[in-house]
Amino acid sequence: MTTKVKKAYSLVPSQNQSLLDWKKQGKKAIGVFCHNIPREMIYAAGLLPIRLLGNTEPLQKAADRFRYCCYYSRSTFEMALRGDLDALDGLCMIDMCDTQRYGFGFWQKYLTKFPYIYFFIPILYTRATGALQFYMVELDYFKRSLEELSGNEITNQSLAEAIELYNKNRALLKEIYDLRGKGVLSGLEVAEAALSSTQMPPEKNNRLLSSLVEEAKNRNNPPFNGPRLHLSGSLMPNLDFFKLVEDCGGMVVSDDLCIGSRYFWEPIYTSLDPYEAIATCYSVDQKIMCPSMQNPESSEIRVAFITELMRRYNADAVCFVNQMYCGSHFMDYPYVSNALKEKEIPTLLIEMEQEVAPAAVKTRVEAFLEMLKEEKGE
Amino acid sequence: MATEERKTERAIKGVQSTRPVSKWLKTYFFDSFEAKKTGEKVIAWAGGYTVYEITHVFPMIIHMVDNFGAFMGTRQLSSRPIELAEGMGYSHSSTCSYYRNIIGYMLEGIGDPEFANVVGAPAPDIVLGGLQPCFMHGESFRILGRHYGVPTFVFDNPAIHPRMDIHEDEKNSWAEHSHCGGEYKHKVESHYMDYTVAQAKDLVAFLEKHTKTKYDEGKFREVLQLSDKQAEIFEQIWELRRAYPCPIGGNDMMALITPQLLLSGTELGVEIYEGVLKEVKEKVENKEGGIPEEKYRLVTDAIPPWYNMGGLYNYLREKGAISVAETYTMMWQQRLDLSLKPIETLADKIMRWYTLPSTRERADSHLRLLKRFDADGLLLWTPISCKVYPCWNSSSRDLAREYGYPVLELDIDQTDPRDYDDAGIKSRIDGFLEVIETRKRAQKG
Repeated sequence: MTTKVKKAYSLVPSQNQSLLDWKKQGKKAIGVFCHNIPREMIYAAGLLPIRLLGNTEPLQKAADRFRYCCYYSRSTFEMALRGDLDALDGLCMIDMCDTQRYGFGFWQKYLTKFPYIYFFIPILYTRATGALQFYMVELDYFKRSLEELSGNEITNQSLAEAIELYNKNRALLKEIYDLRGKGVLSGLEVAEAALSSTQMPPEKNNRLLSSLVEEAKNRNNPPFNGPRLHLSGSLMPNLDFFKLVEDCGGMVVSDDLCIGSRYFWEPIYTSLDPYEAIATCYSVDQKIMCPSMQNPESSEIRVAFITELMRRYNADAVCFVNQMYCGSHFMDYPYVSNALKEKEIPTLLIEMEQEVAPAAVKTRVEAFLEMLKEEKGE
Repeated sequence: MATEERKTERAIKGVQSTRPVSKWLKTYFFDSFEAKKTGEKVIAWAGGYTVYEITHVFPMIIHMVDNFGAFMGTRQLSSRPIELAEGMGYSHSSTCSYYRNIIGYMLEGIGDPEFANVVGAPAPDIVLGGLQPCFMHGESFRILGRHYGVPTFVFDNPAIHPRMDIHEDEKNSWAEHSHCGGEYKHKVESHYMDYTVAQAKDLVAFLEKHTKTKYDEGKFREVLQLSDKQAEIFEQIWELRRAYPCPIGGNDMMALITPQLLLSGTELGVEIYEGVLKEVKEKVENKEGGIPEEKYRLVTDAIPPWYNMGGLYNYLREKGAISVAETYTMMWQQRLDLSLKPIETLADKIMRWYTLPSTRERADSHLRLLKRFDADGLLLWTPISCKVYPCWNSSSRDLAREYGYPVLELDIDQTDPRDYDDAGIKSRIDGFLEVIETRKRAQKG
């Protein structure tokens, strides 16, 4: 099944079979830089949102761009210059970190080959007075830009259908996470499934995930007794780290990653008018706070979310995998890790730049897992 | 905490009239400890947005955290607190050294007598933060507020969407703004104004509550008028910098950052600027430059290495190079739209700050300075722990090169001296000035 999931997509858009099949139907697709860009809105316009994740290739064309910024932003720019994103019809960046805010102009200036490069304005302080009203106006600009690109009107009906599809996707991913928690699926298999949902049309992905769920339910795996890790961070250009953990005798059983639970945990309301539901859920009612969110208590909310997931999936420890030069995650890290330590939860910090799992990281993960094994009395 | 020995010399001053600033600042630090003892004024640690005018309406003393970080750097006191913060888990490569500095200070600096004799800030009663300069500001102020367990106000400042960058002459967009403060002159959409005004009103309510003082609109109007007057004088000083030789260099202009922040809207702020204007005018009349022999006119920018201002600026001075313009020394002072209601004037100022407009606007600001101040080249500090300038600098570098200007980017850190490569930087400056010299000779034929 994992092979089937793997084959369904590629993180290089020009090699992503699902994307190429979509394009063959005469439809358009756009690359997005953050899960806070409402994917339902994009899909309701008849466009396919593809999450951009960068890669680990050395930088050549982008070597002197975004210095001292994360490898994600630099490698994505490199991919764009090299033509790896040419299967896309446009890109959508977001005012979610300094590199996006200050880098947007670069993309606009040097990547004129894309007919559509949009800068999306989210709400970072959800309790600020007037936040929803502000967001509604920005969302309307976004909506109109998507309609112009696609030539399709976003109607209440198309939006409601998109919400239903993606909510189903969210529910399936949650079910898959629960199956991993029970030891039926491995950390890597589940990460593959979550990643696939960011790279495929939701109907197709829902079919794939449904068959994974069915197949997994019939498995009869022995329970996993090794160290169970919660992975905390933003995103990764591949799943090498999940594999590394398994190679070292551990298992990732939960996460708060932008390519994991943070991306799908909370469904969009179906009780409201679809447009209003999107606006509310993506702005003032956001429940999962990433470190870029600026509510006074957003770090505390993050700690609560991590501990809730750890309880749900019986995790033993937290491993932070932060992108080097990511100010938001690294400013949040000391508080979050200390709060976890106060709860006697062991933590490990991995600073990731170009490679996700080089030899030095392997040594540290091995040592950490050994310690956890001892604690578990293995 | 033991203070460190000075590692570098102080920068040689080109003007004398900025001296009252550091004198005032020392008194300010000591007064703030006194105010903390008596409880007469609320101590606010602040940063992240240019709303200092509003604080003059309430009984409070502001400690501008970034400014404080810079001050610690200039006094060679930043290494120790930075190391302390790193020991707590604040990453060397990925978090801003201003905030590593202040977090380290927060942990050990306050109350240390040796340290407090040089510089100091009493613990805050409230914290005021915002997202205007960068995202780390928002996070940092939450950390400070949490540490001290005090009420914290966060101001959300979305970027001004690039759709509002509409120019009459798209090819020469750089020419369409003022060259001093308040760069962004485009029409800002009403929902931006509404959102910013709503938050400004919340800020006023927050300050009313925590200072137990009613907001006085009449008083605020007077403060804004003074701030605008200050900006007007500031513009005149800037205009005089176009003279040959340039009467006041970047190093001296750095001293005027503090008044832009803490004294905007005060009689003292106006008085200091008037003193500087007078001296600068005299220098222009006497054809006296900010350095003894002006050979090269540079636009220098971004956050400088505060701990080595002397070493750096004295070296440039020795080589005959003067910084004739910088955005960093002007960004907090801007003319105000006094036709609006006071809270709207404030909101308008907040939205027009340098970091919120598009990348093109920011690159344009450097090109405009190069042209208007007849500069020979662009020298940019790229602070390695900052996320704003590495992107901004690259865009300015590309644009300046398109227009034929030599550009030098120097990787430094603003407050952390441990990564500073003095010899390497001097050698690159030498090479850069040689390129300029060769071009000048070629132009002369």
